[in-house]
Amino acid sequence: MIRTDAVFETLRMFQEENLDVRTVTLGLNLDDCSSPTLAHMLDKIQAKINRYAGDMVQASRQIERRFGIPVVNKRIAVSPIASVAAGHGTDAMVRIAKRLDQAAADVGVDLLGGFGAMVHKGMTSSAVALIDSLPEALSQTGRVCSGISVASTRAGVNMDAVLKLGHTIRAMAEADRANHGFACAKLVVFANMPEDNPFMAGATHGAGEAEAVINIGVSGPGVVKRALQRLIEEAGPEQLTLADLAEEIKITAFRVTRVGELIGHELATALGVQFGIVDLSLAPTPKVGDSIGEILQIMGISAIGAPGSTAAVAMLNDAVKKGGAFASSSVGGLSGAFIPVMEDSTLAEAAANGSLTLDKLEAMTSVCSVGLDMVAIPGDTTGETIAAIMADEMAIGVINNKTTATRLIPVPGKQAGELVSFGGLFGESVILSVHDAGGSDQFVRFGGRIPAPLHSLRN
Amino acid sequence: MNEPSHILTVVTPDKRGIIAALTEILDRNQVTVLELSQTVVRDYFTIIIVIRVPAESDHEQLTAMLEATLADGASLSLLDYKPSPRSQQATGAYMLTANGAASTGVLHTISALIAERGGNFTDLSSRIMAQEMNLVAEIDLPKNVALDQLQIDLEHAGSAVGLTVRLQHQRLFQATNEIAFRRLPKREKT
Repeated sequence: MIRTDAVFETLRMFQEENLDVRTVTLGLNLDDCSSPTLAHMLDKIQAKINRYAGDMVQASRQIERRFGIPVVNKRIAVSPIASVAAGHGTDAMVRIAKRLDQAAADVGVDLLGGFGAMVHKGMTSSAVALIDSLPEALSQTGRVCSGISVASTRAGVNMDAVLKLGHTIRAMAEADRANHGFACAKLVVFANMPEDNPFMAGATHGAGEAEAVINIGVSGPGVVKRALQRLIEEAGPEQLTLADLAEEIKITAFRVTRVGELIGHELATALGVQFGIVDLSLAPTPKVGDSIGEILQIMGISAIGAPGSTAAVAMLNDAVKKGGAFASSSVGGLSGAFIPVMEDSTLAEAAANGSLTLDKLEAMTSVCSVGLDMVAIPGDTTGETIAAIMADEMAIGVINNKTTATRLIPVPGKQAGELVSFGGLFGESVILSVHDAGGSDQFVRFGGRIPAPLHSLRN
Repeated sequence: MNEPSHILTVVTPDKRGIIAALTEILDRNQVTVLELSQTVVRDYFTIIIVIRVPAESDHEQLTAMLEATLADGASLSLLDYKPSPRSQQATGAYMLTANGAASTGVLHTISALIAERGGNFTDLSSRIMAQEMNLVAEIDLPKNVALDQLQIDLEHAGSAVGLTVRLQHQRLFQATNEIAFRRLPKREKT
């Protein structure tokens, strides 16, 4: 039999340390739903989602029972809608978003991603139509999320798309003024966008994927935090080096990833679809004990944003990846540590007391697994400045050959230092100040494309 | 011939050299040890040995020789081996765990619920330390068992006395603890 202490260690991760399967995401290709007639396409989309995802919630519940593991969210990621709906205009895109919203509600999933476009080298007319539809589409639906690829190491940064999205994000915030611009929390702008990411809001079913796949997102910042805490308490900080902390994170990541792989295979088998990937991303929630900020504090960064914060995030992110890679051959998605300010109460607190600034946050994103995630900025930030913030983040991804992303929320009517709250998993934080806003307007207005870096020439 | 003939069990206060003393006598009497399980429970040495005793052996004399090696307060028995019919439709193991406030009678309540649904304990350990109970058991359940109902019954039985009782498939624990965990379970050798 498995050792008793090992059994209880596993149980402790779920009972006391907030480990859960954060999301089971069904990736679904919708290319065969294309049609020149909008009504025909809408019906095909809804039917296909029903057919593949109709049993997903029930099957997840059975697996939750069998293994005694909470599966918190069930979600769907579809093919980029700009391709599926090519040939249709902006109004049609809005109607598609509404039908996707309905289809997601019908099968009992809380979010549906993929209302997006791949524009890292150039924009098609349908991609333009989709981006133009975002203010209406995302402010008038509850479940639909969008991921837009605007940059890649092979293509460079499409600055026309970045500038267009800068203005679009402002328009989205205004369209959803009643909810403090919450619609913007459902749009992720990517460099090197993964095609199998299960986490929202950026989950999209890539073109190279199978008809339908199950991708799993496991989280567990609380488990890592407690593991490090126990190690330090038991050994004493003077006996430990950073390599010991990295090793502990790696072991913990291994265990957590294994949980994801197990559940993914079981669910894929139950639904008769392929198992795709498991993505161990330390994805915080506003709950105490479920925070990346708390891990950094245990690692000795008492003021998050202080010098050393970037190195600590780098070590954490890398150790998580290494543990995951050893645990499963199907690791994918983002796999690392997220630092979404609003969703992490400790990071939000650091932003409130001024130790975490937008500039330092940007530096930390160069070594985390995503980017400037859930960052509230002043409502009067111009489209050009939003584009410039995005351009910086995309450049980090392109040059470092990694995924980076932004989820920026210009909160209408609010200034830096004021609080904004979206409630629930989306959390709250103060609005971060953007210093010297407007100082890069001419740069982004040049438009065109920042060419791909030298190391893209690998063939 | 590796067919078992007897089951030897010994319970005795733990000290060094018990296994050496027992096996010395078994060897001298040409007894073959086929399988054994030994543990120390709260300072008591316990062992169960499946053996094959030569047909011509004098069992009473063997028992007497073994007993003579043990300290006062020991218990030894030599039973005839009778294979039990293997349970059909076993589903592979579930792990039953209980932890929380120590309480009397809970072991019976839990085991009665498992027995009532046709389950079989294949491994069990339980310990009360400082008023806290920790129980881990491996259980075979019939394929058609209503798992959710049994889980709810166990949860209620536990919560009534302040215990958290869980029944989870054992692959979860293999996945999180064993490096060599594989997606598909190994086939049993037939």
